[in-house]
Amino acid sequence: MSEHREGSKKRKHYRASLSKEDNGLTLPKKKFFRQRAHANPFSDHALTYPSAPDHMDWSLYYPAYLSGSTQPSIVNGPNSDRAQGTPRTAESTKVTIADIGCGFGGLLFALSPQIPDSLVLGLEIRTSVTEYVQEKIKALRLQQADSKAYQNVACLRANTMKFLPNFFHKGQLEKIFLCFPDPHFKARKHKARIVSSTLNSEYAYVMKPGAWVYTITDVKDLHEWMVEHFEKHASFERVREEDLKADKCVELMIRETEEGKKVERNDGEKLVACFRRLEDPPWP
Amino acid sequence: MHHPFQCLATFGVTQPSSDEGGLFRRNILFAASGPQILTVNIKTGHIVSTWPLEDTKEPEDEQPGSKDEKGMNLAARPKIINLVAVNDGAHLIAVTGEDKCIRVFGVDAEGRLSELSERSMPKRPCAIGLTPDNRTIICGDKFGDVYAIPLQYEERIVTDSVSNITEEPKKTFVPSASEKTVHSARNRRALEDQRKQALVANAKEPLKFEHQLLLGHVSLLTDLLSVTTGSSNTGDFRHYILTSDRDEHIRVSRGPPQAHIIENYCLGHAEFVSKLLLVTPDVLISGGGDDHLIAWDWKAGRKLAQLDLRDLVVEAGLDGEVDIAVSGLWSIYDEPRQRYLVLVALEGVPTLLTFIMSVDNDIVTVSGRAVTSLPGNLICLIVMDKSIVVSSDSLKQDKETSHKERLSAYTLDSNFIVTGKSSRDLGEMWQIDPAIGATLSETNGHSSLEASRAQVNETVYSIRSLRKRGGYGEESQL
Repeated sequence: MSEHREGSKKRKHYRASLSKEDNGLTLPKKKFFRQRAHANPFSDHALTYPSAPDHMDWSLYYPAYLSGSTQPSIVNGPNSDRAQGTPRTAESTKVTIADIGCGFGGLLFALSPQIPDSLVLGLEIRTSVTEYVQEKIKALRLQQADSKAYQNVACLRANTMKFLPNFFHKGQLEKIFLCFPDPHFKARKHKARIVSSTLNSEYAYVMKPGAWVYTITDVKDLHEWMVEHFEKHASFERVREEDLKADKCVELMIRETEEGKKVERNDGEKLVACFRRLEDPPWP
Repeated sequence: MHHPFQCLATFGVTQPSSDEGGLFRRNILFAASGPQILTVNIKTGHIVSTWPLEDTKEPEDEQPGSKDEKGMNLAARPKIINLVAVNDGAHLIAVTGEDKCIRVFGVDAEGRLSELSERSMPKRPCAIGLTPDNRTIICGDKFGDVYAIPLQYEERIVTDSVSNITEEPKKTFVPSASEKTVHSARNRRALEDQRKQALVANAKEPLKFEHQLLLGHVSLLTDLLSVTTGSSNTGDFRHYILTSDRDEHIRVSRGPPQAHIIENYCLGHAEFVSKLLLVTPDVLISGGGDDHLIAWDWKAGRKLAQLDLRDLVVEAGLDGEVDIAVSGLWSIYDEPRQRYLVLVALEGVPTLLTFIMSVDNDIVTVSGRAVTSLPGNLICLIVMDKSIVVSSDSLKQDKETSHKERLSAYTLDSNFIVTGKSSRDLGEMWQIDPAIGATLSETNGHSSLEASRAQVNETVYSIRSLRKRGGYGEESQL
C-alpha cells in the first residue's frame, strides 16, 4: 500500500514526535498524513473490527461518556443484553451519528459543539487519514479539557461497505453522512460506490425509522446516481427542499467538510440530497 | 483417473408423493462428475440418462484418435459446481462454473433429463435456492449479489428490469468529472485525455432474460437458504433468505417482494462462513473456517451452542493442525428418538463427522459425536431415507490411493442408535450398506471424464481458498 512507500522518514519522525511536543496540545499537520484518495473496498485490508456490535468497546473512543466496564465478557448476540435486562448501553451513550468516509474530519469537528448530546463517529478507510483525525481529536480534547469539548467525537478505521453491521445494532443510527464520496467514474467501478441498491439495505438496517442519510457531492453524475438509488429503495424517501433548509446539519455539511471547502475554492457546484428512513412495512 | 462425483442431488423425501411417479422419483439420484450429469435409479442401479448425451457417432468413426477426441470434448465443457433437484419433482438445476451458467432440466417420470434453458449470469453463481412455490430461482454470486430468476424461462428480451438501471448502455462518452470536480494537476491531465479519446462502446450487454436483484453483500457469497416459517392458514407465513459470506457474516433478509429488508445478522464467526444448514425451522447451523460450528436462533441472531470440530478431528486420528474448512453440512431427523444427526464434511479430510443433537425450544444439546473413516476424502453426500450415498475422492488428505469406488453407501448402525446415549459416542456409527452399495456399481464403473489431479482439485477443492491470506490480507478482530 502507498503509505509504506510514501512513509518518508520526515513523516515518521513527525508523527512520533507529535504526542511529546507541548504535551500533545499541538494540532497535527495535514501534510504529514496525506494519502491517495482511493481505496479498494473489495480487498482484504488489514482491518480491525469487532465480530459483533456487542464486542465493541466504545469506552476507548468516548472515555468521558462511557466507562471501561462496558466491555462484555460473554456475548450472545445483539438481543442478549436486552433479554437479561442489563441497562448496559443507555440510549444516550450509543453512537447515533456516523460520518462514513469522514476524511480529515472537518464535519466531525463542526458537529461536535452543535450536537453535544450525541456521540458522533467518523469512519475512514485510509489509515493515515484516520490517524490524523484521531490525533486532532486527542489534541483538541487536551486543549479544551476544562470545557470537555470534543469528547463526543471519535474516528476509527473501517471498511463500512463490508463491516457496517459489525459496529452498529439494528436501528441504532439517527444520521448517516456520506460526504463527497469517491465518485468511481468508470462504469466498471460502479459497484465500488458507497451508494447502491444493495448497500442501501444495510444503511436502512442500522438506521432508526425517521433517521436521515445526508449526501453531498460536486459530481453531478454521482449525485444523480445517489438520488436514483435511494429514491428507488423502498426503505427511503427523499427529504423535501423546505425540510432541508430547516436542518442545521445540512448547512454544516455544505460549509464545513474539508472537501466542501476545496470545492468552494474551485468554484464548484455542491449537490445535496437527503433521504428519510421509512418504517418497515408489515410482512406480506 | 475418472473424475470423482462432485455434486449429488435427489428430490426431497418430504415432497408429496400421492402419485406413483412421486414414489418413483424418490429413487432417482443425480450425480455430477466433472461436466457430466448421470441420472441413476437407485433401486435398479441403472443409469437412466446422461447429460450431455454421449456421442453416438463413435462406432462409425473408426479413426484411432476418436476416443481421445470425445474425452477432449468432455474436458472442454464447463464443470458442474452445483446441482439442485427442485421439490416439484420435475426439474433439476445445474450450475456450471467456467461459463457462469444456470441450466434448468425437465425430469420425466423415468428420471430422464431434457435441457429446458441455459442462462449465463453476470458473475459465477455460488449458491442456489428456490422460492417456496418452486417457481423462482434465487441465485447468489461471487460478487455477493443475489438475483431472482424464474425457473421457467421464456425467451424474450426484457428491457425494464430492476437492476438494469445500473448498466444502461452509454450512447456517447461524457466524462462525469469536470474541471471543477478534479483538484489535482494529474487528474486534470487524465480528464483531458479522456475527452480526447474516441468513443468507446460499452462492451457489457445487459442480461437478456428476466432477472431481479434482491440483495447483495460486498463480499464473496458462499451459501444461501430460502426458508419459510409459519403457515398461511394461521396467517404467520413468512419467507426469509439467509445468506453467508467470506467476511464472517450471516444475513437474514425477508424474501421477495421485501428482500430489501434485512431482519438480522448472525455474527460470531471469526473466519469465513461456507455452509448453512437448517436443522429445525428455528435452528440454523453454520460452519466455515473456524474450529467449530455455531448453532443459532437465527431469527433473533442469537448464538445457542458451539459444536467443536477440532477435537473431533483429533479424535479421528488426524493431524491436529489440519486446516479446517467446512465443505458440507447435512441433517437427518431420527424420529423415534426425536433427535437430529448433523453430518459434516471438511475439505480434504477422509472422515465423516456426525453430531447427535437434541433441540428443545432454544436449548440445543449435543448428546453424542461420531467419526467414520472413509477410503478417500469426503467430497459430498446425499441422504436417502436412513442411508447415505457418499462421494469420495481417490485422494486421502493429500496422498493418492488406489481406491476406485467413487460412490459408496452407508447405513446407520442400529446398535449404535440403541446404545448411543453417552456424551462421547465415538466409533463406527455408519456401516457399509451392501444393498445400495451393489446398485452403485454401474455408476462407479461409468467411464466419466478422464481428468488430471490438477483438474479435479480445481473443481472439488475450493473452500480452503476462502481463507484470507496472511501479510496484507491478514485481518484481525477485537
